[in-house]
Amino acid sequence: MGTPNERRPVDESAASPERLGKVVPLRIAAQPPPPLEQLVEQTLRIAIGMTALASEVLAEAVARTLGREPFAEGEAPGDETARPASGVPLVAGAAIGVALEGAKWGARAATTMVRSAELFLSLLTSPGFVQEPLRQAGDRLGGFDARWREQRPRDEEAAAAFLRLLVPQVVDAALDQIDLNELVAERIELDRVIDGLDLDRVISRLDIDAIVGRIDLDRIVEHVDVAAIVERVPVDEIVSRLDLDAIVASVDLDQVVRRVDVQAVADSIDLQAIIRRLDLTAISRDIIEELDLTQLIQDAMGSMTNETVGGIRVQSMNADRAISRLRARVLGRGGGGEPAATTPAVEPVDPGAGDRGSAGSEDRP
Amino acid sequence: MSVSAPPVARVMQGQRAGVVSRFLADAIDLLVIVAAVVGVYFAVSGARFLLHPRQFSWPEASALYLSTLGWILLIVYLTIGWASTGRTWGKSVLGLRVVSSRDVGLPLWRAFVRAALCALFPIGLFWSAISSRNGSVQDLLVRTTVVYDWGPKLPALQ
Repeated sequence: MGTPNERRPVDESAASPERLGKVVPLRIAAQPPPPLEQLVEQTLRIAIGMTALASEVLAEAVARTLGREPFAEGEAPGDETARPASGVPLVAGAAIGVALEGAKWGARAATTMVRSAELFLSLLTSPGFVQEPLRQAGDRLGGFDARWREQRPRDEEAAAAFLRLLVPQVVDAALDQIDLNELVAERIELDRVIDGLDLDRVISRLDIDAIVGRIDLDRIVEHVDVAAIVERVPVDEIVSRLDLDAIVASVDLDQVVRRVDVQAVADSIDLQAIIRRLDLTAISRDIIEELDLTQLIQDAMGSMTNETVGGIRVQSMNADRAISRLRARVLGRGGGGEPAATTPAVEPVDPGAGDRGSAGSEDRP
Repeated sequence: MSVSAPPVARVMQGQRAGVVSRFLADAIDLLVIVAAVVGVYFAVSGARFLLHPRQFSWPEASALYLSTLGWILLIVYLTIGWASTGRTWGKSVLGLRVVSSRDVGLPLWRAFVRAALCALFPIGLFWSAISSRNGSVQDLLVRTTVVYDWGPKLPALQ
């Protein structure tokens, strides 16, 4: 049998996590093993502790199946040491204590025996005729050990495959029996966990775009009561705090106007609906009343007509005078051919004076 | 129709109007009467259409019928114009007014007689080209005068 230092190093590839899956390979300690006495004592302690825990868990489970709480009200688990034990627990504790003490003495006895045996064996194996068989036996054992080491990767791989199948089922079965939410609430201090979190680092790892892309904003907006939110906003107070002049001065209106698609805005306006809502008749009436369109047209037409009519009248007057002159010349009547040479029918009147003019006839005095 | 008179026309106010001005005024009145006849024709047609839309056809009007209608309209038009303001629309455009020999207004009966004479014997207008007083035949018979008067109102009596 070789010492731990003589063991060959563990095949790292065989023990790599990729090969073994989630199963953590067995690590061989580089330090020498502790003395046999300590090993035995520690093993016994572990065995006794596990037995105690198992018996406690079993007792709780049995109590729960009977519909009873394993601990009295206001008593936390693990407070058994606070009160003196009695009855069965007392006997059980005493038995464990006796067993532990016995284990200690047993371990010491076993250690003594082993040391004595080693001394005795060293005396027995010192002669030459004994060395040879021992060496052969050692070689034989070394061959078995080498063969095991050769097969060890395959054995571990098979075990890992078995564990890969077994562990999930065991975990599922265990989780089915456990209320994880309650367990987390009881066992985990969330504040401490959160304090230990580097949230900046967590956030830096998040793909915000992907998260936002998965959010159905339309559905969220449908549930938002915008009117209620708006009512809660103190608009007057906000507006009173704003320096609108400064804001407007900082806006590059030219750039804003350049970005506006006026054509699209115009296309989106339902002019027909707007026009239908307008009381065009009333608007037209108001405009006409304001403009006094009739007077405007009369003034415009009147000025044109007056010029035209005045021209026609003057031209016809000139023609009349020409006819009169021709008549006077042909008929030999005097008077210079002016119509005015004939007896005035009426006195000249001032057209602009209206009724200030005089009238008369050939029979008037 | 009030038109401010230039100086050359201002001195002519109250003078007897010549044949050219009067002929132009009568021509305008004739156009008014033609338009009135056409209007009456379309009014009658519209009334017939409204009364009997299925059997509607444009009314057949003889020249005699239209002439008679126009003659009657002319007399009525001239009578009303001369008896009211002394001027028809044609005379208003040319700045003329018909005045009686006694006063500025023209009595209805004299206006009617003068209108009838004008409608019966329109060529009598051209006597004003020969007459030294620029009077037509109708002026001589009814004792009226046509004068230049651009003012909007009747000239006051002297």
